[in-house]
Amino acid sequence: MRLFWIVCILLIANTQSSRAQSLLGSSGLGMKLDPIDATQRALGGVGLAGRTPTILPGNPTASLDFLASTASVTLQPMWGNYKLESDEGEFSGTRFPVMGLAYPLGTSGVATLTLNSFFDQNSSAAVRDTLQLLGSDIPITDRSDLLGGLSALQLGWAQRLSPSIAVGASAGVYTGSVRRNFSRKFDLDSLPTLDGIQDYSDNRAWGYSGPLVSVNLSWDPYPSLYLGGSLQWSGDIALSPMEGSIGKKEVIRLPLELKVASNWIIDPGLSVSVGFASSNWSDLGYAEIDALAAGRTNSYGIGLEWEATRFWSGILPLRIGFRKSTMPFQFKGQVVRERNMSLGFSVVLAEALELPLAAIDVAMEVGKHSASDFEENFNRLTVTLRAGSR
Amino acid sequence: MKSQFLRVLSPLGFLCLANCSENVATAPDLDLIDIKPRTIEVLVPFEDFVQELEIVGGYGSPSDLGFGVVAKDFGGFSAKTVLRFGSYPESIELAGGASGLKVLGGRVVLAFDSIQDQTGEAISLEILATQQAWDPKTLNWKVAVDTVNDKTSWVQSGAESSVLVGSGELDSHLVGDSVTSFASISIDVDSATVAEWGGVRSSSQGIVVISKDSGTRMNLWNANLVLKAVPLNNPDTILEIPVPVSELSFMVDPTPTIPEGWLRVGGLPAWRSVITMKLPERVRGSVEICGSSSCLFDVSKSQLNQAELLLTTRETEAGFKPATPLAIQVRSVLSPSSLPKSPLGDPIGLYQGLLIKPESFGNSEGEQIVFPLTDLLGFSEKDLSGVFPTKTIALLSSDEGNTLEFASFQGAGDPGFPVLRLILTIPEFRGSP
Repeated sequence: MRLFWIVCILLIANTQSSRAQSLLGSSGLGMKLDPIDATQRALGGVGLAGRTPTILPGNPTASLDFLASTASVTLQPMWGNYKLESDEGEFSGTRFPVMGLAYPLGTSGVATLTLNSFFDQNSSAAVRDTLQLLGSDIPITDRSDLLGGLSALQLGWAQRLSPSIAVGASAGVYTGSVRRNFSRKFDLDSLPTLDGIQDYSDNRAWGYSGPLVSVNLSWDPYPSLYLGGSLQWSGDIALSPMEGSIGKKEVIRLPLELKVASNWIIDPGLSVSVGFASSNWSDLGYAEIDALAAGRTNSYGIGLEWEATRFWSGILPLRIGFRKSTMPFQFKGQVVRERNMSLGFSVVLAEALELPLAAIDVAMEVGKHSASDFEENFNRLTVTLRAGSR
Repeated sequence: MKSQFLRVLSPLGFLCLANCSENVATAPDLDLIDIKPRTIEVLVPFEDFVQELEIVGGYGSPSDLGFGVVAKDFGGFSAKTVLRFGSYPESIELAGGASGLKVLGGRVVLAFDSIQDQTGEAISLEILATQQAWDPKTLNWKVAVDTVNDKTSWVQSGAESSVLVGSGELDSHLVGDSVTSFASISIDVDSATVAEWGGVRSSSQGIVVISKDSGTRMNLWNANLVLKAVPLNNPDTILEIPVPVSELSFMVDPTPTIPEGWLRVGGLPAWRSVITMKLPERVRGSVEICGSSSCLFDVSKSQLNQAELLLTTRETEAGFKPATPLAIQVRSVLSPSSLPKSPLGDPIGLYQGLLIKPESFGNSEGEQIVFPLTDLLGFSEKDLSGVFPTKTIALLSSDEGNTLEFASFQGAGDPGFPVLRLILTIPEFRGSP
């Protein structure tokens, strides 16, 4: 456990220098970062638990099987390349999509505290153009850097109503901020007769705040079948200018999000998971964002988990998954779709009563974002460390 | 088994931490920026930014120049150089030791450059002895002395009452068929006059150097009185002993008066053009920028990328036209209420000033000269409170005190009136990132 906290501190300390990277971060509220841990990533899941107890935002029933207070942190390096018309380039970076604590309340209840990313607004874009000034065509370079994102802090509680049915609820707040640094540079190197045009810069910052509530349900109608569902409601998110930035407070209304998932043990040691999530990204209450919203977006995924062997202190499950989803915001006027294949495993570092106390989950995804002429191939490694106190 | 696992896990950990060095995709040729601030070029006419224009003269004295000017009716310009020589030496060091001197006579040697002669013939020069006290710092064509307690005019303007001492023909600049701009002349002075100059020092002593030929102008860059003397301990030897000039000045006719409706910079005594200005609160954007019709922009809500003062040259009066490039500085007037003695700030823009070719003040008048003012007029919206401060600048010669020539620029009533050219970027206000 001590080692776990040391790792967590190191990872969180690195958060300052870790930013996301995709070109998709430049559109709308940015690139959606599903608060999903490595087991769900490996199974193509949508963020509802399967057989492995874990800590998921908005889904406290996933933590009911923890025997002890447990902490988890997920880190997610992502790298890849993009191609749009004749332009291409590379990107890389690391995110921390989920961090959480679970505290069992007796044998049938659990309380959770989670901090998760929701949208990533790290992006950098530059545009070259010319302006007719001083009787010359002056080359300019506009550059816009966005740094920040939207996160959620939630407190959850789940209760087992019967051996097969459990309910959970979470409430929390959206938080975060984004800073936009815009600059216009006048490239006068090719025009030595002109001089002294100072660059233009405009730096602004906004803060996010707003409530969110979610409820979820898990039901095992048969010992081999698990069904789960969740509904997340978001209140109005206030977008407030910060640090002297000019502007008025705006409000964004995020959509209701529905998730359903199922896990079926088709053979001892072999299970299949399916999941579906849907939300309607339209009529968000703010015209500038609405103009970029993609409308109804669905995500679905399917995965297989095979408990291959025992390794270290417990079962070594191997996972394979496929996931397809639509991004909430368009990119250059086109709806963006993500599809990816995933592989993963978990290593139990310590267990009690056949339930893991400490484990490391790993998922590796190979995927693609595509929207008309835009194509972004990415590799996403997700690592979740979880550890409980004895 | 565990060690194998650790071997697998280690690269994973390394990968995680390595990716913490972020590489944000930047697509330089994609139109991914959805905010479009507008950068506009605005020409603000004289009356919209100038609150006051004042031409201030009297900085320095012709005696600071270090050389004289001699001219007669050179495009209506005349000039006379007035000088006096230093004390004569009382003795001289010879091989046998120091010896007293007996002055027999002498000659005045004058060296000229920048000779402009419209006739192309030898130039008749005269030297005349002044007959009244004169002050090299304050004299001009009409006034011989203008100090705190004494203002005395020449008995006749231009020291016309001076008495002829000698004359000569300056022709050494005419070499064969070619004409150079350098020449010197030696004019004999009788022994009585030489003896008088060597007597008791007086503020009325001195000579006036004049040209007798119309259409001539030249600079007197060196003058000496060459004494003809014999050493008392060796009376068979005749020596020539040069006595340098101790005080020199010159006077011009007509004396430049305060220009009305146009700007003057330079000269000696020097002129400065002082402009009190303020950025306009609003500027008008063109149809190309605003769309179907022109529109007004609030300058205080924009960012200043460049500010330049555009002045148009005009022909400078004869005799004062620059013959070499003239450098002009712009400086802040730090205490406008103390003008003309206000201290000035550091040069704005080029430290050495803006170099303007001489033709711009002659045949090529009408050239637009651009003085950078961005450093002076730059503002921050946060500091403004919506009102721009008034700024006062002075345009002056970088070589002030060392040139008689001055620059002339068109003023408010002229077609090439002063203009303030601004490049402004107007932000696009959006409520979200």
